[in-house]
Order: sequence, then C-alpha cells, then structure tokens
Amino acid sequence: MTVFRTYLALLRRHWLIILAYTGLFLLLTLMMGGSGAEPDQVDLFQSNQMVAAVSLPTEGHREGEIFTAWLENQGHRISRVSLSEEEAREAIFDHRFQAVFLFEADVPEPLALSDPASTNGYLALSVAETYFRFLDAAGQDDEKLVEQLLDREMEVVFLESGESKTGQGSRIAFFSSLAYILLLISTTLVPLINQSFSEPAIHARSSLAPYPARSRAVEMMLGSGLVVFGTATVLLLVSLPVTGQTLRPAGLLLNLLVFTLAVLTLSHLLSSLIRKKTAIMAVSTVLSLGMAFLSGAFIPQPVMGQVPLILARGFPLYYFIHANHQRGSLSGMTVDLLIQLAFALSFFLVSILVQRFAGRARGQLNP
Amino acid sequence: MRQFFSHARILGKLTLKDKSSLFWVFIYPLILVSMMALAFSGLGKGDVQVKAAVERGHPQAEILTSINQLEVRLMDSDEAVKALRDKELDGFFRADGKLEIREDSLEAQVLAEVGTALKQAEAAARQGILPDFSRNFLRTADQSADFLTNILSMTVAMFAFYSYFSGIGMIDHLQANLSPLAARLTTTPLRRTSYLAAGLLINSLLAFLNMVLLTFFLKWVWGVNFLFDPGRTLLLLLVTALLGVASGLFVGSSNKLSTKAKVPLGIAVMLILGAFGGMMGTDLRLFMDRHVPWLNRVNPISLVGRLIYRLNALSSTKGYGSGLLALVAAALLLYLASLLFLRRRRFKSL
Repeated sequence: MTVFRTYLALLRRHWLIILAYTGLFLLLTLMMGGSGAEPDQVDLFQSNQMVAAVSLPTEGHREGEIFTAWLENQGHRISRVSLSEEEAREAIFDHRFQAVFLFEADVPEPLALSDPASTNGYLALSVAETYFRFLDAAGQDDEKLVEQLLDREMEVVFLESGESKTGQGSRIAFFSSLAYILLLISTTLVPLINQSFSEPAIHARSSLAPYPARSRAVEMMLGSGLVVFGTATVLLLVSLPVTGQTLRPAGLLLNLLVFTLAVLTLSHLLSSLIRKKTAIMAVSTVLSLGMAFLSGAFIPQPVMGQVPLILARGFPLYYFIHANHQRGSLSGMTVDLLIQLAFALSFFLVSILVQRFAGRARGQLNP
Repeated sequence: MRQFFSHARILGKLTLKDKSSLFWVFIYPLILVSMMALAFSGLGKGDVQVKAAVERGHPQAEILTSINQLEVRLMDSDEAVKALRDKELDGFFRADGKLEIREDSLEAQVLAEVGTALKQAEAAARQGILPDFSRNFLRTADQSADFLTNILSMTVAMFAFYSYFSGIGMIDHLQANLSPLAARLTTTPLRRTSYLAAGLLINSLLAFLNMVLLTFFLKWVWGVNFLFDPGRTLLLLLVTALLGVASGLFVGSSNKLSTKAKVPLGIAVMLILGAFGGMMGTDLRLFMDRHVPWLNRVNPISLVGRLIYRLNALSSTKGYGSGLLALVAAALLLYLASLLFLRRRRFKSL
C-alpha cells in the first residue's frame, strides 16, 4: 500500500489548502441550497401568491390602503415601501418583486410595474386588474361588496395521489448545487494530486521500482475514491437539514452514489489526459461550470430551453438532476441511473486506454 | 519616464506570454458567457403553453374554449384523466366545477387563476354587476426582468476582476523567492514603484481591452447589449480592471502562500462573490439581501454588476459616481498597501 500511503501523505501535506477550498465551496452549497429552502411540506394546492410591493404617498391614500389590505388578506406577500418609478423598475428587474404598485395622491388607480412576459408578472397584473375592474363595476365606494365577490377561488384537486410537489423544488435545487460543487472539487483535486505521481522523475523511479503496476493503479484509484466519496459524504452530511426532509431518501442517495461514481471516473480520466497544473484548474472550472449551466444545476430543467438540454445529454450531471426530478421513485429513475453508470464505465475504460497509450509513448521516448 | 514605458512594454509581453493568465483573462470569459447565454437564452420564451381540457357538459365550456392564451379541448372525463396522466395536459376543468391537475406548476397556477376569474364573474353576474372586460383599469408600465441580462451583468463584473491574475503574476516576477526571473530581477537596479505602476497600468489596459472584446462578443453573438451607455460602462470596466490588478498585487505581496494557492483562491473567492451577487441565479442574491444585506453592499462584484445593469438595462445612473469613486479609492488603497508589503523584503536563501 505504498502508493496509497503516499497519496494520504500528499493529502495531509496540503490539508490546509484542501480545507480552505472545500470550505469555500461548502459555504456556497449551503447558501445555494438555503436560498431555495421552503419551511414546510404543504399537501394542498396553493393558489398563486405574488411577491409585490405597494408604494403609498406619505400623506396617505385611501384606495391604496384598502387595496393593500385586500392583497394581504388574499395571502399575497406585500411589502409597504416608498419607491420612485426608477427604484421600482430596478426592483422588478432584479427579481425582488413580481409587481410594484405605485399610488399617487388624487389618482385612485396605481401605476403597476411588472414584467408581463413572465408568468408571475402576468398573474400579478391580472389580480390587480380584476380588483379595479370589479371596483369600477360595483361602484368606487363599495369595497366590501368587491371583496365578497372576489373571495371566490377555484377548487383544485390533484390527480390520484393528491400529493403536492411544493417543497420538492428546494431539495432538487440543493442536490443540484451539491452535484456542481462535488464535480468542481473532484475534477480539481484528483487530477492535481495524481499529477504529483506523474512528474517525470517520480514516474521514472516508480516504473523502475519492483512494485506491480496493477497495484499502483488500484491504489491510485483508491486514493481518488477517498477524495471523491469523502467530499460527497461531507457535502451530504452538511446538507442534511434540508435533504433530510426527503420523502424517499433511498432513491436520492442511490442517485448520488451512482453520480459520485461517474464523477470519480471522470476525474480519473482528466488526470490521465492532463499533466499541467494550470491546465487542470482551467479544464475543471470550465467543465464543471459548463456542465452545471447546461444541465440545469442553477435553473430548473423544466423551464430551460431545448437547445441546452439537448447538449446537456452528453453529460452525467443532466441525468443526475433529471433523476432527482422523479422525487426518489426508483422506477422513474432507472433509465437515468443506468445512463450514469454507462458514463462511469466509459470514462473508466477511456482512462485505462489513455494511461496505456501514454505509458507506451513514454516508454518509446525514455527507454 | 523611459524606464516606466520600458517596464510597461516588458510586463505587457510577460502577461501575454503567460498561458495561464491568457486563458483566465481572455479565453475563459468567452467560453463561460457562451455557455451561460446558451443555457439561459431559452428561458420563458414561448415555452410555456398551457394545455387544458374541459369536460363535456361544463357550464362554462364555451367561454373556456374561446380563451386565446389557453389551448383548450373538449373531452370526456376518462379521456382527460388519461391525457393528464400522460402529461399531454396541464389541467382538466371538470363538469362539477373543480380543476384537476397533475402537479403544482406555473401552468396549473395559470389555469387556477382563469377558473377563479370565471367564478368571480359568475358571482358578480348573479348580483347584477357586470364588470367591463373591454378596457384596462390599471395604468401599467412594463419592465423587463430579463434573467439573462441580470446574471450576465454579474458575470461581466466578475470577469473584469480577473485582472487579479495579472497582479499575482507581477508579484511572481518581483519577489525573489517565487520565481527564477524574480531572483534575477532583484539583483538589478529596478525601481519597484515604476515597475508596479507600469504593471498596474498595462495590465489594467489589457484586461480592459478584453472586457471591450467581451462586451462586443455579447452584443453581436448573443444579442446582450452592455454598450447601451458605452462611455460610462467602459469607464466602469476600466476602473474595475484597475481594482482587479491592485487586488492581485495585494494578495500576491501580503502573504507567504504559493502562487499555485493564490490562483485557485482567487477563482474560488470571485466565483463565490459572483454567486452572492446573482451570477448563478437570483435566489441566492435575494437570500443574501434578505438575511445578510450588508454583504452585497461591500461585495465589489455585486456593486459593479448592479451598475452595469442600471446603465444598460434600466438607463439609470443611480449610484454611478459614488460607486466609481469607491472602486478607485479601493484600488489606490490596495496598491499602496502592496508597496508597503514589498518594501525591503529579505530572504535567508534563494
């Protein structure tokens, strides 16, 4: 186990850098997961709750106050703010609010700002428009009647199970960010550590040593496995407060296990292909970020365009995220799991081929 | 002055010859923005088509099938349930007045809103109230919340800071314990103030040139215009590049970490600050703004990104002057601090 012991010694030697690097990205995982976290699992359909702001003049605005109270009674998340039109536009642009209603003195209807091209913006406008349309029809002073008329809601039932998907989005988002961080850390650390073993002088000495090449390769893989599975375990443990609420954890854990295997073989392939430390950083950053953007690690797959999703099918991360959308149902995940395993196997086989050819090339150059 | 220009020329050549710095500053931004534009360009553009069915015998079937925004078909109950299960439909208006859906989605929300509006209109009609659906009752002002422009402004801001790597490279050439070239340079009568000032200038200009290329690339290839207010935007990017080099000089000179550690550290910190600013989606930025509001106020990537989208997407110059001054002040402070760290450093052996 000489090679494995050397691997561990290298990890010990650079523990501070590894800890700092992992710690920074761990923080990012927590932030990304936490930002999408929802507090409770809700079993009923919830009608659209807009996140909007109402800006009222300092001297007060009767219609505005009544409208705001009505929105709050309807369960919408309303912030009472004081914004200029310029500030309101920025608030819409940077997604702080789906709509901003600016009331001016002596004008009963607000100026409504929203992005009508977005579904939420369209729905927010529709709610406000309905209120003022009914107010006009019932008479400006009959707000009570308008509230009674608008206090009707479509009864919504779920097909078969009656189970809502509310709350699943945050867990999928968490697992997706976790996968990106795992990919980034593994494709950086594994090739960087393996590179130390392929330095020309060390490689020449290792080749001369009476140590079986097969054992060397197995121990290298063992070391890489320790890094990749260790990182996955740490990320998973840290994310437990959110992922622990998962309804069917077995499916999600199995998916993570298979994906980690694919990441391990991909990292091993990269370490076989790239020898320069600077190139390793470049390739791992581009590869992991590129995969994450195309596969829907930052934006849910269902709302992404078709072109990136078609391209993403060339990467295991797409199937990992796609499988997570099956909510842990093993039957729904089977195809995605098998494709990830196929990726792992092909990465492994290609890395063996590359190592064999690289070894022959070196043999010819340095007999 | 001649020495200053000579230093600028040499340092410019060294930066252009350094493959690592060339990749991070020139090539990586083009690759990443292309991936981002590709990934996010299809978002919410014509993909949301709400498909629904109305059960035969539904009292409002005629109204529902005439709504242009929906693709509504008349079906029998069994046929509709099967289509819903097979994901051919987003919802099904049952004859008993209920809406049946498969999952809580945006499409389901739209259908629920439509159903609610019909129920409200029906209740109003019973009371003899007839709302006028032919005119608008709100004064509306459209404001695009374009996701791609939003995240790309933060990404461009992050890349403007990538001149950090040139700053690290300069220290690599100046501190005798870091590289053979630096060891040789320490034996020459080199004026460090001139060398550093020339490096700061030439590397900021090179990074700025890259940002100009990047903004043109975004405009012509991906149709994202960050040159709506070219004067102010380019000045902002130049100052950001200057701060990037100054940060590199500061990080490079203030500690004993190796260059191999400083480069990944820089990448990681910038990626995280970019993510906090909204580079990887708006959820994280909103989360930070809600729980740690001071962080994005002092986050330089968030500051620059916001100024970029204000100038180019909102036609607003709010906070531009003060933001620019803060960046210049920070660059000067870091540059002077680096000079202090580089003074009279002694080495036991090289």
